[in-house]
Amino acid sequence: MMDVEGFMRHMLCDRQRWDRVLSSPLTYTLLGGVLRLTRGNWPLDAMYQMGVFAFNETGRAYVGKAPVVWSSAFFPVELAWGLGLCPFSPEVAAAYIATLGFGEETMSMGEQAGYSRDICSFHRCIAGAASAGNLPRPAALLASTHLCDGAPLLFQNLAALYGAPLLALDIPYNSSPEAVRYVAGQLEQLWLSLADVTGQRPDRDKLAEAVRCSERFRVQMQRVNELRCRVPSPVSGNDMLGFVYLFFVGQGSREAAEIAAGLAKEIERRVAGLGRSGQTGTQTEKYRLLWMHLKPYYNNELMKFVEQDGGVLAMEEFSHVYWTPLDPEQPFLSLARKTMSHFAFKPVTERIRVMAELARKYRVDGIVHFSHHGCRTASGGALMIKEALRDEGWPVLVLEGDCIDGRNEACGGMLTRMQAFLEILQERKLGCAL
Amino acid sequence: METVLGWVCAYTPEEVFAALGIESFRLCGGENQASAVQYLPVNLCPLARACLSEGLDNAGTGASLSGVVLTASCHALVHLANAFQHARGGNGQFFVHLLDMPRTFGREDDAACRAFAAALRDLAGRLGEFYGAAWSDEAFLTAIDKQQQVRLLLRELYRMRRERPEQFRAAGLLELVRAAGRTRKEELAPVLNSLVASLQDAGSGDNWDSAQDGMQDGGPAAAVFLEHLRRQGSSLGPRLLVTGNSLPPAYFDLIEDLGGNVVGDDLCQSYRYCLPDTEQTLDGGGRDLFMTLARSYLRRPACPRMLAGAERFAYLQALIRECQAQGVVYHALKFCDASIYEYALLRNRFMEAGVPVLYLETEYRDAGLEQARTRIQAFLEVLGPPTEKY
Repeated sequence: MMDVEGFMRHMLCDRQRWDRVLSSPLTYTLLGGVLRLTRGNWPLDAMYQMGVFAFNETGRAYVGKAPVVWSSAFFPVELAWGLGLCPFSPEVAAAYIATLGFGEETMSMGEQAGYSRDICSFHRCIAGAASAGNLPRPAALLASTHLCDGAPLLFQNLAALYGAPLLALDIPYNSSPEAVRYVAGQLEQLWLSLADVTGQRPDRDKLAEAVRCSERFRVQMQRVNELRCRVPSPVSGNDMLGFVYLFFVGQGSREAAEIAAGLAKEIERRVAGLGRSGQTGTQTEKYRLLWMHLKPYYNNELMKFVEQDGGVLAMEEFSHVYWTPLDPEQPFLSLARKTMSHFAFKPVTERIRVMAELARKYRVDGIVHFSHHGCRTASGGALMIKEALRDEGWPVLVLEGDCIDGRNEACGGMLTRMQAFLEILQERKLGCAL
Repeated sequence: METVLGWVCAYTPEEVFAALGIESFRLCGGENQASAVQYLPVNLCPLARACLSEGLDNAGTGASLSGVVLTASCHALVHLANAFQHARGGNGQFFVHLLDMPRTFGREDDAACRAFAAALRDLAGRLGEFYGAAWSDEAFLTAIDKQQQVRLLLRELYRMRRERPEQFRAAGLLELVRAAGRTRKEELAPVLNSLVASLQDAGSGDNWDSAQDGMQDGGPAAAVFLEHLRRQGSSLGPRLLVTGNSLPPAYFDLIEDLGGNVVGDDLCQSYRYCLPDTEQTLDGGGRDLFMTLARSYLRRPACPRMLAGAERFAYLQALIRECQAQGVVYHALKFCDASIYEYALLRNRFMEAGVPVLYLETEYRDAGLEQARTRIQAFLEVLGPPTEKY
């Protein structure tokens, strides 16, 4: 039976037809059918639900049913949901392009458009897809300046390409009350500008509803994370990394809140039925890992290797719910506080503190920092993080790689390093047992 | 050993340090990046790595760093602050401060100016506390005035260089601006005054010996600067504007050795340092001196890290016209997102405007000089001599 990726690969095999295929409602009808047929094959039903949501939203963006706004990862996308817009994450799209196997040619187009191979491959891929006209045309582009230098700069360039406005959110490092008010003020202005640009009426009740949905999402994901403390792990962290879509695009939507609630229930059921055999789904849990940053999307070899060797991502940095409750009555202040409270947007000691806390809470055996080549934020601090966490007694592997671009990757080398790390974990376990 | 406060980015308000009587030193980094290896990965900005090495080794400072103030301009500088804190900050005896810098273009963004003013006020408070220095508005105004004097004098040198670039060594001017970020302004101003006056007296002829003789107040420092500035090129060399990231001095020399004339630049260790016109905005800031300073820094022409692509292109076009440059050398440091992303945008704009551009990428050291030679040579050949007499 054809899977969803196989179906998409088949539909998109001829690049000249991408535009026609992606903007045709028929594509999404067929895709819906394939999704339904494969429902039983998904490791979690919540993943299936998320797939339906993601493809519906993608269809809405390409078919042009609502004004599309691009948002960079970590931008408080609740603003867009609160205006009834269609948020689109080109970074998630880049990951999907790589997953489908079209990453290399798309990145090459980005490089031809002037983007050096030293920048983030997500962005090269986006630049390539945009220059080929393969992404939905934005009515506006939303980017925040925190956590990624490249995204607002890329969005600025693409805003010029599409002739659409860039609405940038400037976020300071310090989070004094004055700084929070500065960000909240910008959010309000952005919300009004976005309404103006897209021809929507700024409705505070709708915004409050989006914030309420976002808060429900937060509560449910926190519940999921609490359940994941269980040993053996009730869910595969590799699967959980897929939910990054909800974190980047879904917050503020009713669907994301419902999917998160469904996920929590599903894991609860698993926990209730989980025996003591150390089985997580079909695999045996030998090593519990804390996974920092993302993973390669261009192929699944690394993650498959980890799982085959008994490694389980007990927790991922990207799944951590770091922000405090949101108040729908104070949407701008709440979203300002949320955005500014990211632990990686602080001195590196804060990222270290949070990772050590997660490592303890999830009782991991080791920590893997997947250092995505073009990510200055994450990989820039990797050596200091490694040293500090090692001083606290955690085995740490800084694994240099790339999420999207496999052309420079000696995959064998990466697997060898991972294997050596898992062997160290094994030795430590044996040492403890003795 | 004397202690100094280190800083890197041209948006750093030296006036605040001077007002508090704190000696400061601009870290520019050198060839050696070895001490950074332990803290910063190789795929991070080489300027940040070089500055970390310079700071940790006390190389070239002639003094020991007592702390650093780094602007949150980009993630490389953020991690530079982290690395200093990691390496030196453990015992609380080393001052590490990350100064928030809005990225939105400040010309029309009053909220950004207010946020930056608040960040400056906070910096002054923290510095005062750490160094036990008292704040005084009078001292602040004096510092602003001295800084402005130095900037104006440096700008005069740039103006002269624009008129007769064949006589000025671009790397010499770079050294002078770097020195300005490492010297008390009240000591530097007379040196620059003397330098400017004697070069004005020397006029447009090849008369630098008389300039040397003419310097009376500048002392030996002025004579050394003059010697480093001196060049005997040809006025028929192609006129170039250099932008992007700070170019290593050896590359400037290479361009000139190959016959090019650098007539202007938009680099943070060079002309951009001389840009804020604080005096002119004093009235606009009312009584809040921090707001005045914030406006003056944010409202100057934006650098590549600012989200001001259109304004930057307009500014560069104006600079090209002003300098009558025939072509642009765009220098990107390896792994510098701000310039790499910007180049993708500017490349097309320059192409549309018919401005020839040479893209140079370096690791902020002399390595790669020979590969660059051929490309620079070819670029200069394409440009040819200036069509008009400047």
